[in-house]
Amino acid sequence: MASVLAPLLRDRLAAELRTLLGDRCSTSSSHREQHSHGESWHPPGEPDIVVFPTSTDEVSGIVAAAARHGAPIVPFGAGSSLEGHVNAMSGGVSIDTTRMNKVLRVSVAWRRS
Amino acid sequence: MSHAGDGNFHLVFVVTPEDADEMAQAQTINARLVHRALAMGGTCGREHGVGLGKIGYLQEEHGETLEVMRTIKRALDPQNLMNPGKMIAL
Repeated sequence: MASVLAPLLRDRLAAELRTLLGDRCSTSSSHREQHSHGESWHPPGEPDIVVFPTSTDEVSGIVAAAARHGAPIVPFGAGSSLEGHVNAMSGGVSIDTTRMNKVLRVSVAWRRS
Repeated sequence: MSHAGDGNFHLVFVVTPEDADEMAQAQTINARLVHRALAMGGTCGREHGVGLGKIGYLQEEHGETLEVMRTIKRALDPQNLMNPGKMIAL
């Protein structure tokens, strides 16, 4: 399935995200292919842009920019989905969370059994 | 393959993805498996969740409750930009 983003909008969004994230925003074919599928048989879907945020504020900025441009957002962790969750079937922005790798809080009181 | 003790039954199909007939047969068996699980009060997704593959079974599993989920999805994501086409078919 093709991206819902027109090329002009895609380029504007990519430029905005590069301003926000620098080289942690990629439109390279290898990054897009890597983020087009998990580990399942379902058809792949390439995102237009892959971003690697390191903070909640950056994720907020990414989501706000994507919404302004009408771009779908798809979360991407280890890419281990067996259900096609991470496949960007309408294109848009794949948000790779692997660099958000710090434990910020342990809420023992809220623990569920 | 399963961890049936905690209620999760998995079936791994050994197929040739390029073989349309084999894939169709696997899909048919998969649908029977899901319908059987639902008939026994089970669920189509469980710990692997619902994405592209199981989205079509949620109506059968949840009935009119699915409309409540759609209402929540539309309220939180009016442009349907948050991972569209997964879990909740709008």
